[in-house]
Amino acid sequence: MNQSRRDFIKANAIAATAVAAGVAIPSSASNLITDSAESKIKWDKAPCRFCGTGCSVLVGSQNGKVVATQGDPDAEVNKGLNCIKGYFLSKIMYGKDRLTQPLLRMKDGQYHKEGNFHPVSWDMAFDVMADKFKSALKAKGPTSVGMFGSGQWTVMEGYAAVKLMKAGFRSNNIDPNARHCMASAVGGFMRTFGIDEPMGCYDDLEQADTFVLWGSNMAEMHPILWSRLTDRRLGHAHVRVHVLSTYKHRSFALADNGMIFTPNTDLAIANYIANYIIQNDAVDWDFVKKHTHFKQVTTDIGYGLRPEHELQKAAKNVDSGKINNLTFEEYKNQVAEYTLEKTVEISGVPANKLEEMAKMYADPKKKVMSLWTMGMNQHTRGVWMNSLVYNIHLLTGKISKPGNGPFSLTGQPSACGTAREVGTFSHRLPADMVVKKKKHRDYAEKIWKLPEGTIPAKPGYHAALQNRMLKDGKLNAYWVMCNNNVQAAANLNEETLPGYRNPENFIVVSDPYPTVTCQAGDLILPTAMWVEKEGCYGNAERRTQHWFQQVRAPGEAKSDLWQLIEFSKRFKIEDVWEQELLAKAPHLRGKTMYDVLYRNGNVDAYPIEEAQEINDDAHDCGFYIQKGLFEEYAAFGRGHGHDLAPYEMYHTARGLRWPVVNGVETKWRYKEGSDPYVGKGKDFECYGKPDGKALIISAPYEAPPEAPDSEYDMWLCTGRVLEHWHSGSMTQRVPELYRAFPDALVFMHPDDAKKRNLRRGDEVMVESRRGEMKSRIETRGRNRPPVGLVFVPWFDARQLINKITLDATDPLSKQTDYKKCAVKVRKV
Amino acid sequence: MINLLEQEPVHIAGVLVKAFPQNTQIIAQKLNVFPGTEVHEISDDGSMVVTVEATDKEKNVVDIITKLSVIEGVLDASLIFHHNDAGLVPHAKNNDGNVNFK
Repeated sequence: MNQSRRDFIKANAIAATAVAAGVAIPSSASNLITDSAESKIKWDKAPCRFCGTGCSVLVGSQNGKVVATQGDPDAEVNKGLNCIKGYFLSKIMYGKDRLTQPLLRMKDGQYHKEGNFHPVSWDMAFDVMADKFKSALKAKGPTSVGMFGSGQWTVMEGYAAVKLMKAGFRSNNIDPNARHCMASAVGGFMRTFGIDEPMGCYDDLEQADTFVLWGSNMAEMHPILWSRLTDRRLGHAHVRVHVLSTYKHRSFALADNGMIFTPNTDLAIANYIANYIIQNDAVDWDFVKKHTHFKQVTTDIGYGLRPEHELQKAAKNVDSGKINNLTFEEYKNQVAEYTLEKTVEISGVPANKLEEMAKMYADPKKKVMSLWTMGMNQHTRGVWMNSLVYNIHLLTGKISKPGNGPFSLTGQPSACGTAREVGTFSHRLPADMVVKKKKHRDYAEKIWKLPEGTIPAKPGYHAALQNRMLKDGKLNAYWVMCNNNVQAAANLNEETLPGYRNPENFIVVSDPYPTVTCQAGDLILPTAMWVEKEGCYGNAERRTQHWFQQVRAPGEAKSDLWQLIEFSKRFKIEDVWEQELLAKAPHLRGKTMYDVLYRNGNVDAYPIEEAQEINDDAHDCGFYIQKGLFEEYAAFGRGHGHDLAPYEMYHTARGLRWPVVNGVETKWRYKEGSDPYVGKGKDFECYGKPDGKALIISAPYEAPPEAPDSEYDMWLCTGRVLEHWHSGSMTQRVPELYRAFPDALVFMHPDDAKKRNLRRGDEVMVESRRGEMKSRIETRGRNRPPVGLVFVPWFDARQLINKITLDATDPLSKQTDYKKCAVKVRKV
Repeated sequence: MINLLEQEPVHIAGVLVKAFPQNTQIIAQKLNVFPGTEVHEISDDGSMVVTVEATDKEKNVVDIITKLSVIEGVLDASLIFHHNDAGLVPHAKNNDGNVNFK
């Protein structure tokens, strides 16, 4: 290589890194900008396609291809930084096996469940698909059709899908894969505060004195937020970091107090802290009296398994979410059970470590930020657990203040924006409304200009139930969009696969790549991704971020939005609605679902001239559909604590945190002066509840559904690694990331390996009562489990760990517990 | 910045490595031993400006970054810059200095 070229590049590398580090730039490297032949690159912004952090990325395109990306220096979230996945974002669209035409299982020129995949036209794909949906509707009605969507859908796509399913097909059988990641968080927010999503924001990271990670490995899963937290710790000597986990991981390197606890005992630990606060007279009585009520959960509620499972039959109050009143004295007595001695015994965490953490929470002078993600959400008592952490913050009044607050981190780019805010769950509607409440259905029907009674009142099948109903033959026409649920859902052998391959069912899978879900389906639809379409995402701190389409999708690949819209044209409203409902709206007779749902005067209100020149979805419709969908959706939340800004504001801003009132975003909700919804003189107001008071909800420790025994003698915990995002369908196609972490491994303690006569790199079989998987042993590396636990990441399509995991869910949130089941590991 | 236009990509990366300030000297020594890795600046608050260069043996800089990020005491290793060699202008600005979008 030419030495001067090499030196020049190196100087640039030093300069850019020095700027990010905030250190003085060595003078040799101060001139970054060169005369360029590449000035024809068009730059634009987009939020990152991966996790819920919501970093802003600058995207450079040329000749119809994305050719460059970099962290956006003007973005508050990431301040020019990228994690290693985000850094290689531009390559996710250009994997060699990108799908470019619809593929249908066929024999002798016809669809056949046992046929092989053959390319077909979009017309034929939709013909067959519409036929299957119509047959299912005719035979068994709306509950036989369903959809599994995503927290990776754009806000507009999720919203269009909700309308299609809940109002068009009149089926509530739509659920997002966010059910696997955020449902317990939603349950916790709704029960404690009556309104979803964090009250604080990322600004807390620069102001807290103490951080407590409840099961989260932020260093690998939320690296950009971790880098902000690290800066706070390194720059301020008094700052302390507490890390709780069931195994040692990278975040422990920064931990002042690292704690390994026995799976499921976080319930006891949280109660111990509440007990410590009360025993040491650290309750903020002024706050507690003015702003809270005490409640208790109904216990012994089962584990969200099939009703015939013995654990379900043994439970007294299956699925009960009922909460009862409690006095403070009663609450005090309930948590008093969790003494230091007892909590040490249950959790295995040394006394001095627990006490050190409890002291921080109890000290009125310390600002504490609690952070968590899947460890607390993928938990058969996840909703309880979320509330237990809120209890600690409410008892001490450490909430909705800069640097002080509980913060639920998010796993997907729009789990908040699309899954939660839009309400793509089987029980929800936009802006925290639910199908069960007539008032909420009426409100939605009014905005959608549909007759009363269009939306069914009964919640539909949630994620785990969808797979069970596919297997049982009750859900027959099924569309999987923007996710990889065959790889993601637990208990693959006993539930998912038999459901997908049930001869009674027709499974459609929309994806950019041939995932294992595609392979298990019957019709594959090639899908446009990320900046191949216009969209917006909502991140974990309530920040809504927009992007324009910047390049065209390859071949015949089309966006999820286009697919939903085109499919809706295949149905006359008479095909999907019964006469009784049609009689209430005779003017809709003879129209298509497309006309009724998307040409309703709202969605088609904005002319095509307002859209960008490159906006395939809008030009295909002939109007600015993304804006129309966004504005109709925004009508649900404006004036109701979920206010979004006018669409145009998002084109320039690096996102805005809702509620956005009069063009101003909200950093700390429920706090007077920061949140415009808080009444004057109230200081704090939890306005999601009728009387403005949050709930302190007592819940005990209960055992998990499965624990190691003499035969299956180890805990299995699953999760992610830094280099790969979720099921790896994108990151495994980036050569740099693939090579950095090509195959999943079984992380194991050296003593456990020795006991089984295993050495690092040995091939092993991991087995549970449900299945087995071949892998290799890692005894060093980044994750160091304690004796008795193995950790296996789930990104690897060639090593499907979900053949092994248990499909037990939180009975309240219906979220699967991927963090604990019993396995054995043996040499192959 | 990542640049897919590059015909002959130069595998040099700028990496921001963080450690407790009392550990930075020891970690810098360990990093400097890595083939292709060089520590250029160390700040008082624990930030280290590091370049990583692909070698014949390790062609993938991400592999090297992965290895150095699990060194005992390394808290965080962020990839800041990667073979930006085609003269792309940073920060989404055209050569005339104007931002390219509204």
